[in-house]
Amino acid sequence: MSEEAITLLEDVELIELVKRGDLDAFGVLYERYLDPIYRYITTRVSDEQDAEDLTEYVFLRSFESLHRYEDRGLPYSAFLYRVARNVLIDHYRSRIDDAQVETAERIADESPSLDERVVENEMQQRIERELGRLPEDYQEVIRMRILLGLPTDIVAGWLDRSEGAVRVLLHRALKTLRENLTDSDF
Amino acid sequence: MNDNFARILDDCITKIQSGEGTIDDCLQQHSQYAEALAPLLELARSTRTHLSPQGPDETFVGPSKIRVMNQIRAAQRPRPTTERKDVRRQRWMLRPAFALMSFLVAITLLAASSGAVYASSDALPGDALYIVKRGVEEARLIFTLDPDMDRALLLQFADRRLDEVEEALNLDREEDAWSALVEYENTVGELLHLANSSSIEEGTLDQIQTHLSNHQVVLQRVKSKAPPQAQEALDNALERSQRGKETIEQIKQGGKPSDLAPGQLKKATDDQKGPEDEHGSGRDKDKTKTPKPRKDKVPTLVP
Repeated sequence: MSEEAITLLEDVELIELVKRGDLDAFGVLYERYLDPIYRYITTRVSDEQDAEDLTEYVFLRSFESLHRYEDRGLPYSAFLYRVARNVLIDHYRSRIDDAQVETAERIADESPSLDERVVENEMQQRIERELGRLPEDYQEVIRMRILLGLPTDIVAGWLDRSEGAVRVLLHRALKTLRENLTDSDF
Repeated sequence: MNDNFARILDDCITKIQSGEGTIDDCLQQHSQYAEALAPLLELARSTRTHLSPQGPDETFVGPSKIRVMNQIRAAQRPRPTTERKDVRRQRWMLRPAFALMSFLVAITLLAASSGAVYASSDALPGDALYIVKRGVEEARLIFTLDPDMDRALLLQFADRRLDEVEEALNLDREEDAWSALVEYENTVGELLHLANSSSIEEGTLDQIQTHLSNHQVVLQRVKSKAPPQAQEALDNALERSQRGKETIEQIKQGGKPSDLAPGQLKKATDDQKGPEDEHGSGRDKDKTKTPKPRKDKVPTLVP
């Protein structure tokens, strides 16, 4: 198959090719999802080098477990997102184990990281701080829908919820974030 | 009301993000919800403005794909190290019968393919005859019953792998070069395993150390010419040869590396080194406090 033709294939077709040993097909998937996965990682990790390493690791791990992926209505991007999320959890666990100060559940509190890049912006720091204090599913829906700008149907696939449930979740998340920011003089 | 409001909020966010509408457009269109919509849409806009992440740097995208694909390809290749050990173990268990059988097979194969064997001597990874070259090497190891000869062969093969790395790079065959580099590390690993598991004369240990020092010179030379995306793989190979030298040093001093706690040997030698002896990349040195998945340390991917 020509290089151009392979880039036109759907994810499911590419995955079938990968399972049959065509690594170029995985290269196409890599190019297709590098950007959203990297952006997702950077909503959690401030260090650019760490984000790059973790992004590559997500793809290596996803390749390793690709044989377990089956198309049952769950998009490949959702599969990648779950791998990314697990990689992030492992990443924070290892850091926390090292420091022996926090528990792995405190991913949220580790996440105020983007603000390190633009520390002069107080508004950014506040939003980031309050976002990090929201329940995990609220954070995720805001990161995906607002920060990454992913469409609702994709977010639904990533979070394994209905589109209606994602809309309601987003509403609640934004409302809670606003209330918390108002309480802290937003 | 809640579900309906959530749908309207979601639609507005989608339109604003795609540039199809503004906050004012949404508030006018849904004037009955304007009071509730306005602060949430403003918050969404503000959050996106302040926190929206940047995409990956262009200098990362291309090399990154090459790195990941190379790692996957390397992990998928047959692992000669393990297989060779198994073969060697079986060879000793079944020695008389195995030796006779192997001898007959080897005579037949060599008689039939001596031309191909000769022609394969310059083959590089990716060449059709490379499999013949490696097959002959494997056969020589299998038929060698003397551990000293095994060690000598492994040293010779490690030298060859590095020659292949250089030659492949000279021909702009990067992937083949990295393939040879992975095999180099495997060969050094097996060499050290052998040195650590059997008695060995000090002269032989010196010889291994000399070879490993030469390897470091070659690797540094390759590193100076290699593209940025290859630097980390070369650093890993340099680290491998450095650790090999340290392991041999420890054996010479009468201990075995396995007797030491992890890092003990490295620390002892690091203390004696100047900064110019470091082979880890600056990138690694900065990250000692934050263990994280390293591209060269993906244990489940590379068995």
